[in-house]
Formats: sequence, structure tokens, C-alpha cells
Amino acid sequence: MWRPCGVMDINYSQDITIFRTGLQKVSFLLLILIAYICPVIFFPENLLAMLILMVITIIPMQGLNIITGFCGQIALGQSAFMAVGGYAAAKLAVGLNVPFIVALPLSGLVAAGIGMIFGLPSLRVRGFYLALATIAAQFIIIWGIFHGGKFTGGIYGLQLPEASILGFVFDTDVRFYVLALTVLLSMSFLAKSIERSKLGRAFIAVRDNDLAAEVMGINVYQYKLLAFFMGSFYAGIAGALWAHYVTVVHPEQFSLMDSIWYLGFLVVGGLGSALGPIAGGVIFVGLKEILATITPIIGGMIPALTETISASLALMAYALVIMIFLIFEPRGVDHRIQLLKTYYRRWPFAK
Amino acid sequence: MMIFLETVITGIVVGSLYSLVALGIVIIYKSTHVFNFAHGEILMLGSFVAWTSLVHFGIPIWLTVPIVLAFAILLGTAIEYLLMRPMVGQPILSMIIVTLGLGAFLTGAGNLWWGKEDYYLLPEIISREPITFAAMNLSRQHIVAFCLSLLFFAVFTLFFRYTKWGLEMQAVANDHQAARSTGISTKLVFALSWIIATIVAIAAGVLLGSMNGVTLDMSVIAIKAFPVIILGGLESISGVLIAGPLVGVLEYLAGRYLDPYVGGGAMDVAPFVILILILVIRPYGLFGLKRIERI
Repeated sequence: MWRPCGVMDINYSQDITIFRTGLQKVSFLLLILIAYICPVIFFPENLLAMLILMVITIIPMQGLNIITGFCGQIALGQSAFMAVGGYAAAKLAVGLNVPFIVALPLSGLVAAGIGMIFGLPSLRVRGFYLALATIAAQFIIIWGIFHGGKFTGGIYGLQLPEASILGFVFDTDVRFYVLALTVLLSMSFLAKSIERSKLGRAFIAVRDNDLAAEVMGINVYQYKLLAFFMGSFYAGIAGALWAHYVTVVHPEQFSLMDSIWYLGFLVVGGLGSALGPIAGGVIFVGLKEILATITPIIGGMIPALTETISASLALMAYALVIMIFLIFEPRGVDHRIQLLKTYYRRWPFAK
Repeated sequence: MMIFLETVITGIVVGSLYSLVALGIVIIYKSTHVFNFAHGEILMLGSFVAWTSLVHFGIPIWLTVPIVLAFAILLGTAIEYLLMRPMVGQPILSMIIVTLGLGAFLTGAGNLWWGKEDYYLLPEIISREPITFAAMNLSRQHIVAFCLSLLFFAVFTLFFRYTKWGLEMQAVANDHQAARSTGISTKLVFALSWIIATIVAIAAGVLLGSMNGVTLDMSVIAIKAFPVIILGGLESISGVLIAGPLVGVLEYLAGRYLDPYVGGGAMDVAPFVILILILVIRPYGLFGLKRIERI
């Protein structure tokens, strides 16, 4: 992070602090304040719904960032782990009457456990093989939910109540936005803390060179499973939030396509940086919203395509964005932002 | 016993269709070291082109074949030129995402033109009447697929062993730089392998389409072919030929004998369970090169 001339780290705790100068703290606090207040006061319902969707998209991408960005493992089953979290939340809320504030981390943990099991192939394989194994995980989990009978509700899904903490019900979009943003902030803090602690550095070592990591005394197997555990924990939290937001969980809400978009837009945002998942999620949901507005217009202009255009255009646009980024800027939006910052800082002395 | 035998034989012939689909992915992997996740979508799109030519425009079959071939050459070259060439040297993760993205893009394109109806029936190139053999009913298409995969296997084994292009493809796969220094055009080889794979995909797609009609979600068969590729060993054509029927048999046996216990649908999930088991037990497959790979 940029800091003024003369501010240097002289010990380890200074090196790992998130904010080193007062200005950084103040500007970050202001940003949080804007994020909380602006939408609540100024935004209409439909924009708030988009923001909530953004938040719920960013959280699993942060988890994916831990698995793929930091630990270098490929996970194409993130939306299935979200499903596990969502179903766990439904089960805990309806069957066991667990209060939301306890059920949320619990459903994250359930998803984390399942995620760790499906992370087991990462101990033996990687690359294409691991991608295939996680795709298989996606299909097995969703199949299990479809065939779970009464327990998972099968094709009918499960109903669950709105989230509530100590009698306060998050039943409007404004209230839910505040809840979701709070969860996002705590999850971001957790992600940043993982990144700057021993854990994150071990993950990065495993990613960059697993052999060297092992030589340095890092238990590669243990850290790989831990990465899957944490990444799926994020997915579980997001799934539980989503379930409480739409108050119904259904296996078709969590498709392989979503898993692919999460990974794809994480790369668009920038792998292995704190900003990456946030930028990726904002671009993904923003694009979704823009397409939802313009497809009816295009469909109206070309009558032959009116019926099919909405599904097609979304698929093609997401895929194009991902492919263009991979070809022209594989380091993602995050890298562009860093370049801009450097340019701003050095202007007019260097390009 | 009869039921068991019928299940096994059905599994073998259905599995040979998996072999056919897997073959295309293996050909690309053998020469370019890219695992093509978009193979199913290429298959789907090619079958739609064949349908449009045959049914929508009523073009006779002898003219449809060159049209489909031209489409395969166009699509294969476009993928190689526009997508794969700029990606040379990128990490595996980027390759995975780019082919997944390509698959989504092709699905979108297919849906744009052919998304209105659920399925499109191909004319009966091969009769849909099943063959009755020793009191067992076998579909003709599956038998054709079985013969076709045997034929393709023979052709491609000979191709890779004896022809100039085949040897060049192997050389490029082995060492990019060394192949180039001996004067092999890697660009041509890459384009060629994409074109061949596309042709194989469309052949499988038309066969599949003549059974169940051409649909948008017929690309799922490529995902079902993944365990075949892994079991076969990712770069072995003969491995795929054997693994296909093997996975098919396991799938049908699971469907026949496990369905009562899991409440139906065991066939849909069996390939994926097999996939994970293979990866954990024997990741390099039956015939794959056993590399000492850092995990």
C-alpha cells in the first residue's frame, strides 16, 4: 500500500498492520461510512437488491481467492459449497431453531467440512486433474441435494425464515443490505488477516513452489486442506446469507456455471489480491445488471431473437469479458489499478 | 444373469460413445497440452450446423458432409488463432478458465439461434429400430458408435505413428522449442489438432443427435467423458478406447443395482464418483505416462 516518504517498517508488527498512517485509517473509515449510509438513504429498492447480490457474490469469490489466488489450487465447485451452506442454514433455522447469529457461522463450518473432503484430491493431483475433481464435486453435491428426499426437500427445495438477531428481523432490502455489508466487512477483515499472517504466507509459498515450501517446514498437505476449508467456509457463509435473503433454497440456484463465473471473474478482478474479488464481484454483478437493461432493447430490435436473447447474451458477454481479460490483462483489474496509482504518484517524473 | 449381461453389453456400447467424445479431448491434449473444457459445446454447435444443413435447408447428405467439414475447419482455426495462440505460455489455470469461457460462449451462441425449441430431430441416417441379438435389444446408433470409435482408434493410431503430421504433432507435444528448431510449423500443428478434434466432436455429436435429437444440453456428454479421459490416462488413445466401455459398464451397473438403494439416478452421478476415485487411487490412469509430478 502506498505511504508517504519516511514511513518505514522497523518491526514485524508494523509490517503486518493493515493501515500504517492516519490518512489511510480516516479514508477507509469514510469509505465504510459511505458504503453504509449512501445506499440506505439514496438508493431505490432495485439498486439495493443489486448491491446485496454484489455482496453475496463477493464473499464466495474471496473464499476462492484463498484457495486459488493464495494457495494455487483450482476449485470449480464453489457454488456447490454455497448450496451446502444454504441448506445447512435452512436445516438449522427450521428444524433446530438455532438463532441466526449462531447458525450463520455454523453453516459456514458445515460447508467448510464438505469442502475439505472434496479438497482431498488436491493432495494427489493438480492442474487439469484438480479442476476435473472439483467439477465432479459440484455434480455430486447437487445430485445429493436432488436425491436427498425429505431431508433436503429434493426438487422442491426448502423454505426458511428471514434472518433475525435478538428479535430484529432483516425483512426489507435496506435492513438486509446493512446485515450483508457487515458480514462482508468481517469476512474481508478475516481474508486480509489470513493474507498477512503466517497462514497466508504459507499458502503463497505452497502456490509458488510447493517443494521449496516443504523444505522450509510447511506441511503442504495440511495447508492445502486448510485452504479448501477456509475457501468453502466463505462459500457457506455466502450461501446461508443468500438462503436467508430469498427465504428458499433450491438446488438449481447453485449451478456449475456460477462456479465458473466466480473463478473467471476472480481472474478478471485479480488473483491473489484483497481487491481482486471485490473488483471481480462488482464487475460481474454490474455487467449482469447492465445486460438486464439492454437485452430487451436489443431483443426488440431483432424480432427473430427476442425469445432467446436474454439467456444467450448474458452467457456470451460474461465469457467474452473473461476471455478478453485473460488474453490482454491476465493479472486483472487490480494490476491496472496499481499501475494507475504508480502513475499518479510519479507524475510528472515518470510514466 | 441375462439382465447382468444385457447391462454390461449396453454399458460397453454406450461407453464407446464416451470414447468417441473423449478422443477429441485427448487429441488436443496430446499435441497442445491444453485440456479442452469446451469440447462438449463444440460438439453441440457442430451438430446444430449439421441439423440446419440437413433439415432446415434440406441439403442432401453428400453435400452436408463438406459443409460440416468446412465449419469444423473454420471453428478449429478460429479457436486456435484467436484464443489459444495469445494464451501460449500462460499458466494452467488461465487455460482452464479460457476453455470454460469458450464453452459458455458457444452455448450462448447456440442458444441464440437454436434456443427456441427443446430438441431438433435429425433424419434417420441410421435406423432407430433396435437390433435384437440373443434376446437383447441394442440400438443401432450405439453399435455404429462402437464401430466408429474402433475405426477412429485405428486411424489415429496409424496417423500418429506413420504420417508426417502425426509425428509432427507428437514432436510439438514433446518439446515445443525443439520441434520448432527442426522446422516444424507449430502454428500449423496446433491449428490441425483443433480442426481434427472438432471433426471428431461433430461426428460424435451427429451420432448422439440421431439418437436423442440435437439439444442444447447434449454438451453434458463431454463432462461424462471426463472420467474416461482420466481413466485412460489423458494422452493415450488406446487408453480412451478401453476406458470408455469400462466407465459405461460401471455406470450402467450402478444404475441397475444401486438405484433401489439411493432412490434412482445413480447413473447420473456414478461417472463423477468414479472420476474422484480414479484421481485419488491412480491419478495417471491406466495407460497414462506415470510422471513424477510435484504435488
